[in-house]
Amino acid sequence: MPVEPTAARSVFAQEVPPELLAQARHGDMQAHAELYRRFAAPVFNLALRVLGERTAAEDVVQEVFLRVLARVRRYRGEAPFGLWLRRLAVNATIDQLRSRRFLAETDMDALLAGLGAPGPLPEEQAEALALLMRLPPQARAVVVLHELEGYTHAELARMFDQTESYSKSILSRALARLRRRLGREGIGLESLP
Amino acid sequence: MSPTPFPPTAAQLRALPHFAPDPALWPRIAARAQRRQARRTAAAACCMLLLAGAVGTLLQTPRGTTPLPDWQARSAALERELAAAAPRGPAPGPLADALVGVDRALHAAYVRGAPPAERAALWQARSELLESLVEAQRSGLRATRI
Repeated sequence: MPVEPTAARSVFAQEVPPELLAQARHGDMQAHAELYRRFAAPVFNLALRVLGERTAAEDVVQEVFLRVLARVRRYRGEAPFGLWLRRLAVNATIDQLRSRRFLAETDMDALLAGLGAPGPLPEEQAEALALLMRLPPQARAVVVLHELEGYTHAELARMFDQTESYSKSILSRALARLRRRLGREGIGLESLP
Repeated sequence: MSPTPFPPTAAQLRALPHFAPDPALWPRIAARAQRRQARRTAAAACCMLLLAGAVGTLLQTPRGTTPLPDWQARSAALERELAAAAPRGPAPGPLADALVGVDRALHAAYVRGAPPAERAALWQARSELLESLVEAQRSGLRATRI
């Protein structure tokens, strides 16, 4: 089954045994628990990176796995299961983004405290998270979905009911903002486009 | 063909930390899914009982009568009563779910040109469901149990 190169790098692009999917289609809760074990963290992290709130991200996880339970019978295998599920996760995240007011910037300390992180994050991880959380939520969505999940501008435009140039402009402004931050903070400026 | 390389920003973003959701989340999701399933089963049973009752009543209706417009009009009147009693729509529950089921069955009946008696049975079932919903709404009860 052909998978776009960027999509293939997504954490969602993992193989799922056909027999596990067959059991899930028959409503086997053990099989659903196994799908949750494999995909809950990728869904949670995608939503968390965009929404910047633990409870909102957990709402997305709950919504996605309830949808999987209700709709897995309709999954026909046209795309790998993980990418089908990723689409559910992206849609649920965008729904959250539209239905709630999120702060333009997320307070890193509050976010990490809410996540119950056992200790400080390694420097590189903390920097990456802090940079992302300084973007407004919609820009975070475009950056995460385009740069990490490999969605094209055409796909993003459809998701957000906007034009392709809108998505390109959001991404370009977000990257410029990240570049300025990196420059100001002296972090790996040369590695940005 | 070699895969398209990520832009450099992506390399930095890949350093993002990974977190896990609350370990108690799956049990909550599974419990909620089971409650939904139980509600659907109850709604389907409720729907079947109402349909069976409506068909039984229609079989006893003397020939030559045309009950279809009566049930349809009754349903429309009850719909208005329900809208007045519950402007934001009926409380979710088996009755509301059963109403959705009857509406689908009605739509399907019209699409395939079902005979008037069958449509009348469905309109009757719909009216009876709406009566129960209006009653539940007026008594201030949430229709969560049959």
